Amino acid sequence: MAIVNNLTTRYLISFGLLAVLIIGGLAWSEYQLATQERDSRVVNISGRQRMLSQKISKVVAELAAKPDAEMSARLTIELEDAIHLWERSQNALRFGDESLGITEGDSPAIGRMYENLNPVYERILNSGKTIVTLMKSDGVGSAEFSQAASEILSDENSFLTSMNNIVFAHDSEALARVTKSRIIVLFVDMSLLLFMIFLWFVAIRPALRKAEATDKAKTEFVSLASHQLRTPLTAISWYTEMILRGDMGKVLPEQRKYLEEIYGGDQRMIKLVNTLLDVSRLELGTFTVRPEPIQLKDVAESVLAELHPQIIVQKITLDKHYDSNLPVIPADPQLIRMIFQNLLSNAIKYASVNSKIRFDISIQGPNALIKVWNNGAEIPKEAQPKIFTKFFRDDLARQKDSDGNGLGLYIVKSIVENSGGKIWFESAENKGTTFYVTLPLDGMKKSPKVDPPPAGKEVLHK
Amino acid sequence: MSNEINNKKILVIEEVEDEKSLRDVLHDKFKLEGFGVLEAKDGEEGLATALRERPDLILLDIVLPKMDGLTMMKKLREANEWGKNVPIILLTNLSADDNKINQAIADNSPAYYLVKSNYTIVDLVEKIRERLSRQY
Repeated sequence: MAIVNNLTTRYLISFGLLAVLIIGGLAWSEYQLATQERDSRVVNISGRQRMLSQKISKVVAELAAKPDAEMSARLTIELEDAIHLWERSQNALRFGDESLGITEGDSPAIGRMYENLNPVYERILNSGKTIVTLMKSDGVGSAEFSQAASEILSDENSFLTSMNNIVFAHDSEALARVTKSRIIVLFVDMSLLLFMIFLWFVAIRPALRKAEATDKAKTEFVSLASHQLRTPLTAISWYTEMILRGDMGKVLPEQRKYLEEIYGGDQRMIKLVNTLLDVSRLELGTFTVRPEPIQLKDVAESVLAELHPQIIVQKITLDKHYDSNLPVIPADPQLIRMIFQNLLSNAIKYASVNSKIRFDISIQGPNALIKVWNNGAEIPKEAQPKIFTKFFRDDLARQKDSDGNGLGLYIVKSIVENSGGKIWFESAENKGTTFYVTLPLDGMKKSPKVDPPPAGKEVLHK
Repeated sequence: MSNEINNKKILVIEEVEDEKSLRDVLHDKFKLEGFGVLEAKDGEEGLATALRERPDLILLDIVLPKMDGLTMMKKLREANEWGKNVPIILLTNLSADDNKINQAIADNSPAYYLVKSNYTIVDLVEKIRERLSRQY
């Protein structure tokens, strides 16, 4: 279907774009975090550089004061370590060093600052190394020592100042990066928002509309089918009826039987169409519930009256009991009738000849409890889980009622559950079968939109 | 009293193509029962015939060409005092679950609704007699 493919394509493209935006956002975040990580390392290590240069000066000064041999040795080691770390860090800052967690990537401006600083740095470095060498070979008092020492001391300030400037430059560059990042994030978020709106119009709303249209089409189909199917069935029914009643002249006995067969078959078809329509309406959710205040036992009695002939034919003893406190319940009389008709006619159908049926309506807490028991054969264990499913009929059912269509219990269950009640059964060998139905005493809820016709106006329903 | 009922006129409005057989059998039955029978084949013609002939009861299908049954019913009710009160039975095969139909019945009384396939012709006549005798 063209429209489905179109929708699917739209969804794919939309979600693809969404994915790209999200992944892009994540990648950008990651990049930002990495940059900030670097920035903070740089600031750290730059700070340390300044501290180290001061330490170098201090140690050199202490050495120049000619301490004892042990002290000198210790100070020399200190100086060597400090210089070593200082050199490594400065290289890392300028050229990057993975092991210190600094990647390359200073701006040209900062690069130039490092370049300008370099001569001072080199002087301090070389002087420091010279002093270490001299100390190791015991040349404290030499002129070289003094020269190197005074170099370090005089350059120290310069190094510190330049290093400070470099750090501040880093700082403001970092700030600029963060500001830029904020703008980009804002842009991406707005894009995402706009995109969601776009998604709504391009993919989601059309899908919803399509679903609604499909639903509407289905409802209309059911309506149409009911009309189309029922018309010829009605024609057969009425014409046959007229002939059978003699309105069109005398009917010969041989003809009567044939006409009655036609009529009977037609009635079965009408019943089936009604049931199918009920099922369709249940599935489409268009079953209208029109609650009225009804007394359950009145409906039950009316159904029993209808079933009376069968009860007589099968020689069944009916044991019925209605709780005297049963209140009037708001319920749809047609739907309640369907529940009783189904349960009671089933009980009669599956009871053995000359047997008993028990029928009970009582109050249990907030519900009315309906019990129907017969002593028929146990419902086979394999069949039990399927009993409420559509079109299910086991062999016994087929045997007892070749006309049935397996939809009765499915419909009853739907009605009961939609009313807020429950239905279940117990069936065991030699114990018969009991069906239980609970219905809340505060009744069925009216279907929305239409009020029931006001009292006094009739609606001719069968 | 039954004589007076038997002089009653019933207007049957049924679309001709699909429903012709039903219209014919109703015609035959009503004639046998002694009613006068008027016929119309669409909502427009039905409305005109109703206003002109003033039948005692109208049998009206919903699915009709030119003007559907619900619209015709509404217009009839709005037309004049007689139109407001003539009993109408919606004789149809649509199920009674459509809110539109229920609303129309509620708004346009005296109006009734029955699904053709669920009634025998005898039952239908019974209902008609019952409704007609109520006019007294």
